[in-house]
Amino acid sequence: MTTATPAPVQVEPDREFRSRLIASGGEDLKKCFQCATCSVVCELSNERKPFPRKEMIWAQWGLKERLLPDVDVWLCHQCDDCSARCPRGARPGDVMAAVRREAIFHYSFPRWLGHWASRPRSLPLLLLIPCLLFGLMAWLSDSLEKVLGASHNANRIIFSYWSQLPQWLLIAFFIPFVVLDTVAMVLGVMRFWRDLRTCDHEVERTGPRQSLAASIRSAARSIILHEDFGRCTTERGRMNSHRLVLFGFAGLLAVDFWVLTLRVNPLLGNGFAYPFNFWSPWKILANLAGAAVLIGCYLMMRDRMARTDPTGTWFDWMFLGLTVAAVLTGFGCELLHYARVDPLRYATYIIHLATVFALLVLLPYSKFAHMIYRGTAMVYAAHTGRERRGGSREAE
Amino acid sequence: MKQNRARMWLLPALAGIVILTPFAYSAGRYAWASRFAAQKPFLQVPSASSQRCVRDPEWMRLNHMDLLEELRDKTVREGIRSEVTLRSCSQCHKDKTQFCDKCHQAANLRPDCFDCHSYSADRSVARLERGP
Repeated sequence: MTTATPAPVQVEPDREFRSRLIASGGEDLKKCFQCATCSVVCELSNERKPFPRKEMIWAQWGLKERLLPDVDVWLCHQCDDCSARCPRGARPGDVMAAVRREAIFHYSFPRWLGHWASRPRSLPLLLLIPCLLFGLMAWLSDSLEKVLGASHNANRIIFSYWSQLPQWLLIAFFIPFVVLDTVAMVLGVMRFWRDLRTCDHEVERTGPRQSLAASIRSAARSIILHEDFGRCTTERGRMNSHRLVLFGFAGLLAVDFWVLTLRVNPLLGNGFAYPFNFWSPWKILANLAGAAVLIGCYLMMRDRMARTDPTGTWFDWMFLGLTVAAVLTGFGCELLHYARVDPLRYATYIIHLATVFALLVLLPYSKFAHMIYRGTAMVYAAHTGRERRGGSREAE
Repeated sequence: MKQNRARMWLLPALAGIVILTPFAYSAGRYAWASRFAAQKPFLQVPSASSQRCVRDPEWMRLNHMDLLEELRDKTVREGIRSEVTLRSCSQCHKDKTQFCDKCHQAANLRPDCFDCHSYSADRSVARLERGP
């Protein structure tokens, strides 16, 4: 029985990358002395080559090429069990979050946009540009209508919230950005998937390998049920706030989809199509979903403020802040509409559209992108048999 | 663990039902309408078919409120009375419940026009005559 002597490896630390991790939430990174308490207490970790211990030493050495394509970074849900039990206060949970942030920037396409959007000083511009665009559109909408020959639909009556920003103009404005976003996300996921393979030797695969379709099904199931969140103990409350925000966004997306199709939807007869009555099921869904997102965000903010330790980075707060701003201005538009406070109503509407625009454009470059990268990582883990602690779910 | 799993399903199932209800409602309404009722125009067809509206119908659908407010301001601030009044609307669109109210009710709108003005021609004449 001979054991192969591992070949000596020359480590080339990336100090710049390490400083970035330290600057973006991993400030206690250097306190880690590799005791492995974190990996032992983690409910989500694996039996073989578990996280977050190995990520901690990689981060200390600034091993960018191992951390960025690491599937385990995304299997972590930041329960903070590790951070709570760490005898040195190195906060591995925060380091994992900082690595995820860097991974989002690294895989985003185009990369500069991710870095640009992550700076606090970009935010005013990010809101000002759409405000100006919407103002310009409102100002020019009559002439645009003549030039483009767009007409109000003759068969269905669709009122816009503001007649200067009719539905066709908003659709024509937003659809190109949705397409660009989708392209950027697909490219990001493709880069990430390609790189995941390069890190394969760092994670042992002992579980059963599943087909791609089965992996997608199991990942979707896990996300919908919040199975991983459900295993957290320290930050258990996060499960409920995350559920509210996720399902709230799903509801809002359903209503958006319906409103987008008003002109062509075969289920709608000719006649009055929009706005919805307050008691229309669509309006009720939109109001419930908006309230769910708002309550979820409030719970997240409350929990984050209650923490004695660092209270999150700009990256976390901007996403949360933009979401809250979008929902609050949305409800504001609704209330001002019922109260018929006219000039203020349109101003609120423009701010609402600007925050929605910012959220949408930042989707692949902000914390919003966690859904595509974590989703991809969960599918990849199931596909390649990266087994989780506690064995398969069915054994429970 | 069994009970825990049932609890895990509770919220997603509830969210799914809430999200799918409007789709089911719309589909159900569509199926009902196409089976039991002929496709009718939403608004009553104006009775005086020879007479044309002051603007084309599509424009009126979206902007009638702005037109009426503009005319109101001209009348009360500058004293310029227009041919177009609620009364002249009612010459073709006779029934308020089949015309104004249908859209306003569907959209949960309560325009304040009718707080003072009566839509029906006879009564508005009577009120005008009482004026100075």
